[in-house]
Amino acid sequence: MMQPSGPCPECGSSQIVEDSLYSQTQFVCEDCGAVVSEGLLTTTLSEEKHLNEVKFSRLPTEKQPGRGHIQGLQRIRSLCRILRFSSNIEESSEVLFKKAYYHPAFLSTHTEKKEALAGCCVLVACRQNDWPITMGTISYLLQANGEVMHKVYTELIQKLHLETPPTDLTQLIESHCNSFNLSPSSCPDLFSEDTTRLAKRASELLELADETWLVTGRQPVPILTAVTYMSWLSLRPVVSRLNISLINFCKIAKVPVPAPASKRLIELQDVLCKLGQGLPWLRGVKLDRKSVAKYTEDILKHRGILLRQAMRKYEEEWENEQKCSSVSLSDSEEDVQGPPLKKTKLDEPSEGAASGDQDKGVSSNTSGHKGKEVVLNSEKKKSQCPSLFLPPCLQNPHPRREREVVAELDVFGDEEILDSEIDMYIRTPEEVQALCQAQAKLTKSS
Amino acid sequence: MESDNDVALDIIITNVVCVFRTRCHLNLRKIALEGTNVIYKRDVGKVLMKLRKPRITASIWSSGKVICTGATSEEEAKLGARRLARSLQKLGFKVKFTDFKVVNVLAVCTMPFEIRLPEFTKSNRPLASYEPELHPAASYRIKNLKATLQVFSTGSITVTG
Repeated sequence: MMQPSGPCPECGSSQIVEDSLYSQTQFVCEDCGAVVSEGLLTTTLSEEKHLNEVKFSRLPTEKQPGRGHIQGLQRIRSLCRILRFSSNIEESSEVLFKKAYYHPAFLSTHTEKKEALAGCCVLVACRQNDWPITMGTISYLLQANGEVMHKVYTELIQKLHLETPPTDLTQLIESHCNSFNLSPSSCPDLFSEDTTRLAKRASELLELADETWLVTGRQPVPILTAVTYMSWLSLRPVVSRLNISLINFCKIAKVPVPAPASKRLIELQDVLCKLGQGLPWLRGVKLDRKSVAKYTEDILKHRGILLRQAMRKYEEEWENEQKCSSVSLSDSEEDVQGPPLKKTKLDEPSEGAASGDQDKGVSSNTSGHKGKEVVLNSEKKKSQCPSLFLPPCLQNPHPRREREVVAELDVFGDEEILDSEIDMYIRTPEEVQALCQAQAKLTKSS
Repeated sequence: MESDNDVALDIIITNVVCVFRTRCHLNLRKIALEGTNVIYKRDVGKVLMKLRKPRITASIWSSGKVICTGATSEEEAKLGARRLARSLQKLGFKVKFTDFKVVNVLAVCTMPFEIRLPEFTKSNRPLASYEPELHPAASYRIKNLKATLQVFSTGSITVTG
């Protein structure tokens, strides 16, 4: 092995290091970088056998980031610039992306997933910095597949053990309203609206929707669109605006219409109609979904009182119905003089209840498979009045086809299995032959 | 919910998933030809066999691994798995019933009240997480039991693990 010969001729330093390269070793001065001496460029076969091979991965040179990494960082930067995020969010997204990109779960995946990973890192950084943004916005800007984004986001949170606080919808409403193009320059004066007023009215409607179970468990964007439309109608409830449907409103504002938005709008209008009936100056006025926009401002002003009033009135009506039904039941019992009815399972308290029972959910479960059950105390449950405002899937449950009630097998797992029980799962030789013939005929004909 | 409410709850087991190995190679074509209630999925490389009693569906691979789903109790799952192994034995394979293990139990329960998911998630962080854009339910993980609960706003809770 070669030894360095003396100090560096350029600066006189004695800090000489050996720099290993593929084919030629060099002695280099650490202080000034001058090459003090070089090894042989060509070697004999016997010398090569004793040379140490240096792998690229062991070289002291800093590895450059790969193409996917660079593209991902570029994507993050352009997203942050389009959405005008602060430098904090951009930096934390880049750091997170670097960490995630080289994680084994994401390193050898499809390009599509790596593209979505950049968007997911931006989303996580926004959430951690309390910046309101939806996954739909980011996947729309990246032109990414929504399902891929969802999968990558879930995996990212799981693998890197990240904590992301959920986005509050009240923070989202302002940015959502700003995305609606309703300035006087882009649409007729009759349809234009100030976004600050729109956002304020929309956030009040959103709070009302949240209190009446229209928001929990649902996709946020359709609700925000429905609430924005309702707010736009109610700020200037003139005939020309009232005649514009949700779809046309979104066309005017140049915003895509999410599919469930029309259903959310109907639910919101029904809630406003229920509450509007409590306003004294609307007694006798026929409130329907079209006309309720005119009175939305009044309803929102007094929504606290109206909610309490509506629920109290509903409870009183329900209690009266319960009393009437129990009186009629006791009359019929006296006539028949039979044994008293014993109900161990839940039944609906009355057929006249307008909104769905919370009991319905439980009774539908018990009609199916019977697993490990615990005896219900039904009397106490019956006395609870169902709420006027329930999640819509409880108010209007989907008609489910009745499951076959399978008899519970009293087994302990290690019983003897009879041959006769197994024979029904095996074809006889004649059946096998017939099947082969049929298959042969089918293949011939095709 | 009233504090003196003593309502007990129905917890119904809806699915039990178990696995076992036969320790021998299985000819899927033969099973598809000679077995009844059988579906041969050639693209995936497995056979689906359905038993009537107990009502279970088994996925059978040629390596001898079998996954049984649809039972409503662990005992039923074991009995169904043994019946299946016996059927494969009758078909002529040298089957041994080994490495039986229940891998997943799914149960459903309904609360007599609705649940506000954002508030529930806030008060149960970091065990609970709620992403309305991904799934309508909040998921609550119990690490020591290795169980995951899906909590819906209607009060319905699905327990898996």
